Formats: sequence, C-alpha cells, structure tokens
Amino acid sequence: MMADRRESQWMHEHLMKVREAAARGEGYVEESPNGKRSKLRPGSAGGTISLSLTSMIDVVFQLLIYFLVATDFSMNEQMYRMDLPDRSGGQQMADPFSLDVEPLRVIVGSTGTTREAMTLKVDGPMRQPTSAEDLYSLLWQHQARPDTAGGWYNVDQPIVIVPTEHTRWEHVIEAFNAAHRAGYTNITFGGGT
Amino acid sequence: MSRLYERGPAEIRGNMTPMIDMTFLLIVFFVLVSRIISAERVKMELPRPVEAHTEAVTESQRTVINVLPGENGNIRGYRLGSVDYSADAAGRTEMMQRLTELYQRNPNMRVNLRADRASQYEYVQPALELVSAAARNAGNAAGAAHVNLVVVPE
Repeated sequence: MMADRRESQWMHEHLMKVREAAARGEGYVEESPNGKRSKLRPGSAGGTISLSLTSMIDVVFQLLIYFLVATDFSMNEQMYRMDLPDRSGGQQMADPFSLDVEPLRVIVGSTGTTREAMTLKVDGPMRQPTSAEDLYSLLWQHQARPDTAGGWYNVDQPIVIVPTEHTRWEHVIEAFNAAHRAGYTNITFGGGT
Repeated sequence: MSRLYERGPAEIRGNMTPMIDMTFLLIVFFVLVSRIISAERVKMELPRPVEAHTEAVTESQRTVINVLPGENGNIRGYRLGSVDYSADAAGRTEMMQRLTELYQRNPNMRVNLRADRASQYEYVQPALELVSAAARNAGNAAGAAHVNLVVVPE
C-alpha cells in the first residue's frame, strides 16, 4: 500500500517535469532509481527515422507474382490477322474497265477427328492437294515471284477458304495457315449463308 | 523498486500495415485476374496448326468473342467480353447490338475470335458474320471488320 503510493508520487513528479520540459521545447532525460537512463522525449526533440521495408517487400513480391501469373496465360496463344469482307453487295462503284480478279477458292472438309483427316479441293488448273502441307507447297509453287516461271498468283490474290458446314475449326485453321504461310495477304472465309 | 524499470522498454505491438498491403494487393490481383481468365479465356482446345505463321496477340483495344464449345462439335453459345449469348436468333440479335455499340465507340476495333478445334464451322461462321454485319451497321467507312483468329502454335 505504501509502496504503491510512493510510486504514484514519484510518477507524478516526473510527469510534471516532462510537461515543463515540453513547454520549454526541450527533451527530458531522467536518471532512473536503478541507474538506467530512461528516455522520456516528448515531441520533436531528437529521435531516429526508421523506414519499415516490410510493406515494400510485400508489394514487390505481389507484383512479381502478378506478372508471372498474368504473362503465363497469354504466352502460348498466337493469332492470325484476317479482314472480313463487306458482303453488303453491289453498292460500291467499281471501275467498269477493271478486270475482275477471280478469287481462288479452297474447299475444306473434315473426314475425321485427327488433324490430318481433312479434304481439300482447289479451283483452278492445278492438281488437287492431299494435305495442308501439300496445299502450302502448291500455293507457294504457283505464286508469281521472280524465281517461279510458272507462277500466276500475286501475293494479293484473293483466296477464299470455303469450309463445309461440318468442317472442324481445326481444319479450317490448317487451310488458312497454309495460305498464310505461302505469303498470301488476302485470305478470307466464304461459303455458308 | 519500480516495476516499470524492471520490465524494461520492450513492447510487443502488431504492425498492421503489411497485412493491409497484402490484403489490398490480393483483392486487386483477384479482381484483375479473374476477369481475364474466367471471362475472356474460356477453357478450350484451340487449334494447333503445324508450321504456324502467327503473330503475338496484341492486348490493346481488343474485344474477345469465345465460341463456347459443347459436345460433338456443337456449341453452347457465344461469349462477347464477359457476357454470354445463346446461339439462337435472339442471342445473335443481342450480340449484334452489343458489337455495333462497340464499333461505334471504336471503328478500328479488332475482334479476337477463340473457338475450339472441334467446333464445326457452321457455328463459328455466324460469329464472323455478326462481326462483319456489326461493322457495317456502325457505318464503318471501309466496311471491313478486322478479326484475329486465336490459335496455339505447335
């Protein structure tokens, strides 16, 4: 009981000293009864500035994980660019003296569920391709380039891929890829409605 | 002797800042990633052409149409962005309206088309037709719509 009162008396005295020191704008250092220096520093007097790095590291790791995950999803997907033709028909004023460029039609069908199970049929005076690879070499062969004597298709020759209704999308893409790989730039899909 | 000094100046206090940081980052992470993955990247077997001459998918100004794969080459419908449309006439009309709006906002929009390798062309073609028609409806001067066919090269 007595000890408690002594202690609270001691606390009171020192708190008053701290307040006085704060009013003067100074720090207050007290020699404690057991000889240790106790720092009671009010306000701005002294002190070290320490930055916590924890949150920054958290943020960095989170961003790292985010980018790792996000890039992983789009890494293996690629695409072909294709322009869909305007089929509204008959409204554009065509040059009456220009010759029509007859598009080269490639009819694609599926005969099974494997990648090779596809049929190809090409318009024009050439042999019929047996596979997508064959279609590529055929189109490449007949492309008009300085090194091909028998080439008659320019690179901007319109090529229309005409899949039948039940053709698997896989086979449509194979045919498209063959034409694209041969360097043709004007490839579209046709048929259907 | 005062108990205050015996105990020393050490004090245990939990720092909440990193936890809050983590939480917010996780929220942001899941918001962003779930939108991209679940809505626009429908799980399907994309075509795998051999000797593919493809280019990288550009992320700017893209709109994604997914042809949702069903059983035996059939489809469940179409997904434009994160909205699903049925494959019937009503669904197509709605999708066309949405596409037209998008074209009015950005006439140079490119549409990424994702379709399963087993899907039949009769179901993929309407998506192409809709894009073409929407571009025309929106009054695209060129009248041409640009489509990217998404594949996974070997």
